[in-house]
Amino acid sequence: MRPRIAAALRVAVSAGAVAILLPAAIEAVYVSPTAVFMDDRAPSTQVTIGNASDSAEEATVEIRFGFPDADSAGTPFVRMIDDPDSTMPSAADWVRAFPQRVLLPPKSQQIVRLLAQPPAGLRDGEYWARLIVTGQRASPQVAGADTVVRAGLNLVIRLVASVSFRKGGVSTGVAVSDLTAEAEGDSLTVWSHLERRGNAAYLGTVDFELVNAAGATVRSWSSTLAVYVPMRRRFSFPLDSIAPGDYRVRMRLRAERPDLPAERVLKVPTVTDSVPLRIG
Amino acid sequence: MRRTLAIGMLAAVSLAPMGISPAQAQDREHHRVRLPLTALALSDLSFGTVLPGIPTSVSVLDVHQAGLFEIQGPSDASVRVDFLLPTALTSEEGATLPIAFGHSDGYADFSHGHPRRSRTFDPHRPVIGTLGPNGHLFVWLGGTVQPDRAQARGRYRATIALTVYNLGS
Repeated sequence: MRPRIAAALRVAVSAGAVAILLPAAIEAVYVSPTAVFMDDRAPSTQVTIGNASDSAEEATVEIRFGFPDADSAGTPFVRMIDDPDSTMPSAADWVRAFPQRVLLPPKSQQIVRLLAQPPAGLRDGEYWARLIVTGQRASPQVAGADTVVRAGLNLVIRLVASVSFRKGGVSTGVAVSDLTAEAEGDSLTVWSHLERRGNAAYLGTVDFELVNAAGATVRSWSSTLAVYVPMRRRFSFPLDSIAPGDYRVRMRLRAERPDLPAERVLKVPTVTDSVPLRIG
Repeated sequence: MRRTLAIGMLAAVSLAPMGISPAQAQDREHHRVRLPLTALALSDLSFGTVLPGIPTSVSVLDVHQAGLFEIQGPSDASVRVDFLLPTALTSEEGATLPIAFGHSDGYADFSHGHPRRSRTFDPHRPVIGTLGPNGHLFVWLGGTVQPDRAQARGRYRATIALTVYNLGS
């Protein structure tokens, strides 16, 4: 019990120390929601962009084609494609944002309207884009005299959210294969091949559980997950203070997303898999 | 003003891991649904006055001069943070001042509490992870400027681009 109290105290003290040292925001840009949905019945919607800092911010809004993917090392990224060919489900050419450039006074926000004008004859399915909000201080600080050498940096903030347009019937699902797990030092690395089913992106939550030989869960982690294209994904988690021994890593993908509107999360069965893991 | 904000943030951070009532839980769930994706610059990376011919480093642990950024979003949100870093700063007269970022000039703290989930990183590479139960990620940035012996006097600036991707949708 005492070590737990000591650990809790350490955390509280360090959290408090960092919090006390936190200055007021020099720049602060936000976008809400972080996932925008439209369909052929409601082809327009709005997002809110804002400036939570005490200085004015110049913001631009762009729509480009992109989707989450993973590179050869399993690292997730958002693949942006400037000139998608006709086989790609891009909505970037026909979703417009208004306005595209705004001056955000301190502590202010702005509604940005998104309007989808899909081409005639668009096939049923889901079409994707990314909403990119870029903010930059309207008047960057330049301090100091010219009699010495002074050096400082300005900042551009860019937030990238998703835009989905659904037409007609859409469905999704996810398949898991080639699940492997490895303990490396103080980290757990899990690899999994993920493949989407249907004609819409899979939006869900992935849970990992580390289960000991007695069947007890000793660690668990959860994260939001989007599967747009087939990918081999790597997940890494800290393994501090886990006793050596034999374990199982359980992976569960469930179509539940508290951060998204429930009616936008396509319901599909939960998918599970597991793999043995030796630590130490 | 800063102290008020700091105390407010301290209260918010300190209460985060504690037990909450059903009403608070409902409120938290409400905020989880509506929480925006926010990027804040809390402190600029600043080298201040540098001496010609002498490289000047700002440690990632320097609370006064290191850059400090905060990402806020829904709990369990999967995010990727990329820095686009300059190789030189430029004065108003066009002179340049080289800048370098080492493999341990970045520090990321996903948890801001327990369990500890923080690590150093190479700021040329992305920071990828899941926002913890409090939905916060703090990122610190250090670096080194390398003035020439004949470095022209002046105010040197460059721009860092911080991009936050929501990987969960």
